[in-house]
Amino acid sequence: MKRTVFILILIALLVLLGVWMFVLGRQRTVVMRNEDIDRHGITYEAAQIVGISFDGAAETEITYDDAAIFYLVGSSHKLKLRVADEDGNTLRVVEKTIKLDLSKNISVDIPELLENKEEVIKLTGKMW
Amino acid sequence: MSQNLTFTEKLKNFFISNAVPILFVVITLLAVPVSGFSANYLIQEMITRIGRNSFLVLSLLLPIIAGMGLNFGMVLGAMAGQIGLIFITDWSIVGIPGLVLAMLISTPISILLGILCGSVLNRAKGREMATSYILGFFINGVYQLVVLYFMGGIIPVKSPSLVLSRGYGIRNTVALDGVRQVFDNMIPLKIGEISIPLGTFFIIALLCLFILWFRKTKLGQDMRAIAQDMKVAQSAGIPVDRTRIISIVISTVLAGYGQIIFLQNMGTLSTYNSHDQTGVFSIAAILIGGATVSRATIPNVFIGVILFHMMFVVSPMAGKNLIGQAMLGEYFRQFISYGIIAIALVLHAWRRQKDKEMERRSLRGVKAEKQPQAEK
Repeated sequence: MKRTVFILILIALLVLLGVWMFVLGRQRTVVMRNEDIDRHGITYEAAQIVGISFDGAAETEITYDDAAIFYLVGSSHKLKLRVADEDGNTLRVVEKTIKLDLSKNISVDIPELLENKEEVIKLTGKMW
Repeated sequence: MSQNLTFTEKLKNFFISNAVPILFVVITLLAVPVSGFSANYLIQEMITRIGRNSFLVLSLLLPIIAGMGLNFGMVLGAMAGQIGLIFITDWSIVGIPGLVLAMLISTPISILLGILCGSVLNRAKGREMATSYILGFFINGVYQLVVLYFMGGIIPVKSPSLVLSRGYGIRNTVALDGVRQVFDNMIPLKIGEISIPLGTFFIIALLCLFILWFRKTKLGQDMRAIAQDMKVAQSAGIPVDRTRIISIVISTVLAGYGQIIFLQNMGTLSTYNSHDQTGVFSIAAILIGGATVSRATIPNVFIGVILFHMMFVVSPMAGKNLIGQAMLGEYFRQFISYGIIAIALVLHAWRRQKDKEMERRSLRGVKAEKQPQAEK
């Protein structure tokens, strides 16, 4: 009896460790889109140039109607968006904290994100 | 008994006991200059290969301690490790958590396969090596069925980079980008131009400590007693069959972990082939290190990995420089890995016969010495 309980506790601990590893090591593919979109009757216009940087890493620049893919591990990230005009002059810089769930593929529309006033934004996508 | 031996006999015994490593040292010493590789290159290769292969080879020790010979069934564990890696790749679990999760997934599969293997081997006492070798082929068939037909169908695997275009079955090659050399680079260390996978070495050191500790435990002592004489161990109340199964289970689980460490270093999983040569190459390495079917130590593992892989690295180039064809070197190393197992097994049988002869001779000597005393 004692042995069975010990084995069951051990199995439970290993399962918990597995779940923890899953959460800790899950890599999300985040697609950042910079294109005009219509959402609930409102049109969000894309910027000419957007510089995207996660967690202080090197900036990736995308132009109008373009997209970039980022691979992020962990649930909380600092996002820095630098909006620029055609000549590359910075118009504004927006910094936000984004919280990702366990979704594997997440798609983000930058124009909509820029208009979002919240400091912390929760993002979700497709689980598999 | 050894005190009565002359120097020539001692020397002869040393050469007989270490025939395989000595043979390999000689071949390597001849092949290294011919290959033309620099010392730095060879040192880097050896350090990388020690990190990559030692864990797998160490997993062979426990069944030898338990008198079950060389565990060709370690490929079962290797397959379990690969299944773990396929799942973490599908789930996009990267870094150290990815490898730990792969190990966690492989553990129950390895335990089940180990129990199966141990139970079969208990029914084939005295023929464990041949039986485990064939069992490896059988489980390989089951593995292929699962990976080629069940995964993506019955077993959910969704990633398009993993699943074949027909909708089920895993692709031939799986890129392990998320876990590539994660253990190796866990503690980065570079001395001059040589990078040392300290993280992997640390894990290997932990396994060595575990084996040293395990040998001193009750279970470890039981295994040694079983290796000495199964019938005597049984009469002494040791559960022989159960202990033998445990040794195979531990070996299979460790082989699964070893395969994960091996593949994280390679960075690519060849779904249907990676495990194929695992058993043969690991066994060849431990035999080259001076181990026998009935006796193996931790130094045998490291000496074997160095000598075997030195041969692996230098032989194609040595072949090319000598004959002008690299393929010949490639054939040579295949020939070496299989040939050495044959040589080691033959030498083992020959040595056992010699030992028996010596034992008989020494007994006769004791009798001869005792007889005049009795007459007095």
